[in-house]
Amino acid sequence: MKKIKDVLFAKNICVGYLYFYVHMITEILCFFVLSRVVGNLPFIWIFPLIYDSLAFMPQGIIGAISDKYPKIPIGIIGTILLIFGVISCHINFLPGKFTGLIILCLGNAFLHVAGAEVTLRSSEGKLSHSAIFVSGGSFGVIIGKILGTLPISYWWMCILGLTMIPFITLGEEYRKENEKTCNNFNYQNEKISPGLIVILAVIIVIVRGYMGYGIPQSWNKSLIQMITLFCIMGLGKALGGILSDLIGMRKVAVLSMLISTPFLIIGDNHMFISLIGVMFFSMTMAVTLGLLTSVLKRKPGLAFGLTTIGLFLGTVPVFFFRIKTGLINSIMITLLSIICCIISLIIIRKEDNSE
Amino acid sequence: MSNIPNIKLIITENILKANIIPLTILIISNIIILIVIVLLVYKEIKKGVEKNEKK
Repeated sequence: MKKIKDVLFAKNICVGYLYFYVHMITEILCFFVLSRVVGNLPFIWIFPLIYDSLAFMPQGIIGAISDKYPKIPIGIIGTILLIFGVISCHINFLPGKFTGLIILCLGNAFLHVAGAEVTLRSSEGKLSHSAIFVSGGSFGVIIGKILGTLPISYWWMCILGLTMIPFITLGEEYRKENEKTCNNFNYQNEKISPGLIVILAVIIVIVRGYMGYGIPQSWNKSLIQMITLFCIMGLGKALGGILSDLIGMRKVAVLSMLISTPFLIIGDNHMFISLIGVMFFSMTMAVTLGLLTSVLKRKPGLAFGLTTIGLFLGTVPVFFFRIKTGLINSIMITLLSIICCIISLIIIRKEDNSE
Repeated sequence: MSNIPNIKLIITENILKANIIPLTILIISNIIILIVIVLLVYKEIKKGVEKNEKK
């Protein structure tokens, strides 16, 4: 009980909640605009690809800049870009069809990096903080998608965006206080070369990114079911970090990569079984982020950027290739999960931070 | 061909439908970002290793 209390009320845990809100609002704004823009244009499929590419890929570069120049207020820059992007998508005063969308995506990327920097630096080697921050995105995506279909003005979204500023300002104070505390991240197996750990951790992210789209979910048909799915995803992401701090990263890696698989496959037509699998599946994020930060201790922004790049690389094939046969899909998910689980057991040290 | 009906990889006709110029710009910029990131990570790891050796 004491351990649970220690994790749930860990030092600076409020930073996770501050950026949970910021992340949620960011995704609400982005998916609100995306669902409006996509609804009006013929090449629907290419927009998510452009969005993913522009929002995920630059995060590594922005992260590296933020690591090197910590005084740059990337959270505030992100908010300004995001709101400017929403306005330009609404009024269309900038040249080019994609300009507003590009600005919006860059705002999204800046805010993600700001959240990662603050939560990783303030957590003193714990994963709950960053996991709580990341989980906000899932709630934001579904809320944004729903709001996009309702007759709500873009200007209300801008006001919603402005509410992030006090949260970001407060978060920046925590970052100033904890500028060099990523040294407490020691989850990696020190017998393996750091370069190899980075490559293997990114491979896990790529594979999981691809699998995320391949999960069979015939049950997911109504709006309520979709809302439930996204909420469970968010819950899983947060639990990944909390459980890593509680029971250790190795156990969470097995839970998320191996135990999730049968639930995901059997749960094709059974919502509750599938949701259990989705929850476990979503826990991987904390594992890979913790590993990459352990190797790149002085560059948490770059480490976070690597996970988003991996995620993008994993989702790219989905836009071009898709395996339609259920059996082959299930076999592939199982095999990839086993491989990822073995890799993570090799690269995670036996006694991690929590033990 | 009938022996391998299970894997139905659909190379989407979307590629043909898409406007090739933005797609090309997108791909090239992503490759550049990827190369920069790899270099940054390599440099950082090298620094870390050198630091450990000094200790």
